[in-house]
Amino acid sequence: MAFIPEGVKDTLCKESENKDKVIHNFKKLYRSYGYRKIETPTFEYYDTFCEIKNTIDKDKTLKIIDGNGKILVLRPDVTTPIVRAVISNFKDRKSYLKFYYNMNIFRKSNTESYEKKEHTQVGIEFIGGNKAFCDSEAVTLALLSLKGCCEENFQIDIGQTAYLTALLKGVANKEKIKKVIANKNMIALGEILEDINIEEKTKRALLKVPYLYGSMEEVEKEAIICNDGTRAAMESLSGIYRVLKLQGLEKHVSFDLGMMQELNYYTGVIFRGYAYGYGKPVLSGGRYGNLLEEADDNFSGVGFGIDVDGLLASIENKRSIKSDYIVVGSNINDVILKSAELRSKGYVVESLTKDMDYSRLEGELVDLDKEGM
Amino acid sequence: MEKIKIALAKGRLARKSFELFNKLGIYKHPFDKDTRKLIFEDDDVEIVLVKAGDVPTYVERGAVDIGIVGKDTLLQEEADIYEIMDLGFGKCKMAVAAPTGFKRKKDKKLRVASKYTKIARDYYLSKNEQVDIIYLSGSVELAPIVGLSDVIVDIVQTGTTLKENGLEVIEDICPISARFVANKVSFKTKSKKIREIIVKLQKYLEMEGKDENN
Repeated sequence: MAFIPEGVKDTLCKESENKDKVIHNFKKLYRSYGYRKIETPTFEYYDTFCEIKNTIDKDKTLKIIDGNGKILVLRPDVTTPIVRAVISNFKDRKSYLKFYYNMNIFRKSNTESYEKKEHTQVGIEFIGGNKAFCDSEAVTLALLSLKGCCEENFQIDIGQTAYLTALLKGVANKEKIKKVIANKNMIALGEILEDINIEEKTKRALLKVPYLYGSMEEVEKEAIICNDGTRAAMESLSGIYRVLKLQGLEKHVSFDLGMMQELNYYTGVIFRGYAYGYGKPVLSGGRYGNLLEEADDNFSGVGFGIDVDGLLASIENKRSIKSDYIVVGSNINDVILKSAELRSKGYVVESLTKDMDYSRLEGELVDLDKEGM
Repeated sequence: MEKIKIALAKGRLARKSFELFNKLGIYKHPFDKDTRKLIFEDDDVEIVLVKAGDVPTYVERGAVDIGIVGKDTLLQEEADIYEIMDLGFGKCKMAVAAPTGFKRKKDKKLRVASKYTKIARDYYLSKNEQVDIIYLSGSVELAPIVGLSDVIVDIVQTGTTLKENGLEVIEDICPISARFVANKVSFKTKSKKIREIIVKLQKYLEMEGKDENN
C-alpha cells in the first residue's frame, strides 16, 4: 500500500486540468500588463527568512538538514525569496521590477497535522515605482484575477495599515491593541484602552476602528481624521477607489480600516480576496517595505498571492477534457497514421490496440478494421 | 437570498439564544428544549446545535457564518474568527480551585488538572510559574481528591459543585460569558444581514443594561 505523508495529496485529471486552466488565465492576465515570470528554488536557507522580514511563523516551516548540517526550509512564502533573488540578481536596479509567479509553498499548521502543507500560489510582485500608482494596479489585477474565475461571486476587502499606525503613535501596548482591533473584539479593546494612559480623542478614534468597514462612502463618513497620518491613509484608499471606479470595478470592493496582517511586514495598503461560500481568503496581498535591516526604500513593493487550490474548491468544476475520437485497429501502423491525421486537424484522439478496453470511453469510435482502411 | 447560518453551543447557551432570537425576530419558530433535532430553519436563518468545543471550528471554516459560544471555549480553542460582542448571559468565571485548606508545596512542581489545558498553561505562564498540566475530559473535581493533581482549573458558577466535593476557589482567572463570534469572510460578504442581527442584539443588551441599573 503506497501511502502519502499527511498534508499532501495527488491532484488527478479533471482537478489538475482545471487548475492548469485557471493558472494559465492568471498568467495571461499578468503578461498583458508587462509582468515577467520568476521562479525561485523549492528549498532555501532558513537564515534567509531571518535576515529578510517576513510573515512566516518559523515554527510552521518544513525544515531539512543538508549534507553540511545547514538548515534548509521548503519555501514557505514567495515574496521573501523574490526579494532575495532581486538583491542577488538585480544589483543596480534603478527602475521598477514587475514579476508574476506560479510556485508551491510549504507550511504546516500548528494544530491539525492533517491540514494541507503544500499550497499552489500564483501572484505578482511590483517592486519600486510610484507607490500610489502601483497599489492601484495591484488591486486592479487582484480584482481582475478573481473576476476571471468567480464571475460575480467574489469580493476584495481593502485596508490601510498606515491608518492604525498613525492613531497609535506614542500609545502603549500597540501590538495588543492592533490584534484585538483586527479580531473585531470590541470588548477587549475597551478594556485595554481603559487601562492605559491615552488622549481622549485618540481613545475615541481607536474605539471606532473595528466599525470602520463597508463601502467607501460608509468608511469615509465614519473614519476620524485627526492627524496627517490618518489623512494620508484615507487618501491612499480613496485614490485606489477612484482608479477602480474608473475601470468599472468598484462594485466588488469593500474597505476595512481595522484590517491587520501579522507583524510589521505590511506598511501600507493591504487587501484580501474572498470567493463567496468559501470560509478563508483565496487571495492576500499588500504593500511591504523596510524588509531589510538597512532602511532601503528600493525594497518597497506591493503584491498578492492567490491560493489556487482554495479558489478551485470554491468554484464549480467545469467539464473535463473529453476525447473527440477513439481510433482502434489490428494494424498498429494504420492506427498511428489515422490518429496523427485527426490530431493535425486539432482533435483530441486516443489511439488504442484492439486488446485494450475502450468500451467505456467517450468519443467517436473509429474502428479501422471495419472501415476497410 | 442566502440564509445566515448560525451555530449554537448545545445546552443552556442554545436555549437562551433561541429565547433571544424569538424575542428579537431573528428566528421565527419557538424552540422545544426536549427535541433531539440539531438543525432548525426558517426563511432567513439556519441554526445548528453543536458541541460547545466545536463552535469555533464550524465558524472558522465557514460552515456557519455566526456562532454563540462561551468565552471559555474561545480561550481554549483559539480560532481565527471575529469576536464581536459579549452577550451578557451564561456568566461564570474561570478559576483555580483546590481542596479546602490547601497549602502550596514550595519544592514540588504544582500539578494542575483541567479540561482547559491551554487556559491553564497561559495563566501559569503569565505568572511565570512552571507547572504540570494534566488533561481530563470531565469530572475534574475528582483529581485533587484522589491525589491525581494538587489543584484544578475549571469554570465556576455558584461554587456548589466545588463545595460538595470539598474544594474552594483559591484564585480567579477571568470572567466568562456567552460571546457572539463570526467567520471573517462571511462578516464581509454577508455584511448587511449580519450587521442587522448585531444591531438587534446590541439594542437589546443596552435595554437590559438600563433595566439592571434601574
